[in-house]
Amino acid sequence: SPSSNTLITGLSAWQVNSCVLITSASYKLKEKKSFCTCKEICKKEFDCVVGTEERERERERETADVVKQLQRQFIDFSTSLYREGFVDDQFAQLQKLQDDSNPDFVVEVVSLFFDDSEKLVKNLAVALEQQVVDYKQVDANVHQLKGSSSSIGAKRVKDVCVVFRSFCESENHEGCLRCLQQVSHENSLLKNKLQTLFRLEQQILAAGGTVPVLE
Amino acid sequence: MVPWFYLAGKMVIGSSKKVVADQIEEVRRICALVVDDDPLVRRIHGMLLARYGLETEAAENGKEAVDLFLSGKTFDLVLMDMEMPVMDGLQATQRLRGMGVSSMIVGVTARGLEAEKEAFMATGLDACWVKPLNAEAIISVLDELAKKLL
Repeated sequence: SPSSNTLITGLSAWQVNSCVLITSASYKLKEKKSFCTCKEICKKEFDCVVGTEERERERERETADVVKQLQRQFIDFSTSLYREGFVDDQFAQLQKLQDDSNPDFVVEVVSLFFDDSEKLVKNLAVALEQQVVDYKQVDANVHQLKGSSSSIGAKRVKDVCVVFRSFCESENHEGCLRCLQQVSHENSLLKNKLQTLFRLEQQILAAGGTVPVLE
Repeated sequence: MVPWFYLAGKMVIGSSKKVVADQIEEVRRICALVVDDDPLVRRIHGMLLARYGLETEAAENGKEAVDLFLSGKTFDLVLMDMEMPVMDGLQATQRLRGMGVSSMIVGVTARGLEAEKEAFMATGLDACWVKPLNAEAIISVLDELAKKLL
């Protein structure tokens, strides 16, 4: 049976630049195909080699545009993270350390941080709920959180820890509770922001692009 | 400043690439030990050193570090955290120096308090930095190491 690509009867055709010219307008196709883009030469609905190549090029242009758009989004989003103080230069240092032999370094280190910080926030909540608060214990936990946040460049979290420690020193319960709430909030915010950043990176890579490096 | 550079993928200390190239068979990788109870810091500092071509190992506290040296291992450079459980950085540094270890030991502290840094230095450190270390700090440490090794 004739393929859906062929003309049925009563037509003749000849090949010019790999396109098949239709000498007669009367033909039928088993299934409708998309229009060939070399409109000057071909008529109507069938796949010709030139049309296919043209559609490939069009797809490549579209993909390149998608990659460019994603890269722009990535740059804008990264810049905003630094501008809004979510991360500082230490985070940039970590990004620079990542390379082909360690492609997941930043994600790995960030996961380690959130495992640690979420545990510390829970410990702090428990410690501050006690009838008699052990401020040395609270301070030790905040000190650890300050260290970790400093290591990955989590600036806002670190800044809250600095204030938190002074409330521990003065054994100010209200102040400590406020800081706990703030540090928990900043931690969640940062987690969302970094998840978005990593998602953008994955999208760029999936579209065949490279992740831009911020100067 | 003593130059250090890469030759055939290995970090080399030398005054000229030509001179060192003749002795390439004798070149070995510089080894470092990262001592810190925080796994995040061990990962980051280890990575920073590895980026400059050093072979790195890690220890979770001062006692593990001392045990590594007692087992016969040698390291050109030790990054020693100050506050650690079991055995802290001050005790570990004192022990190592007492054992005759002449490796470069660089202290790393979370706080930049002068008094604390001085007390830590007094145990036998070659230098003391506030963490987290960055590329600039590592380069500075490696420059000092180059001077020491030559």
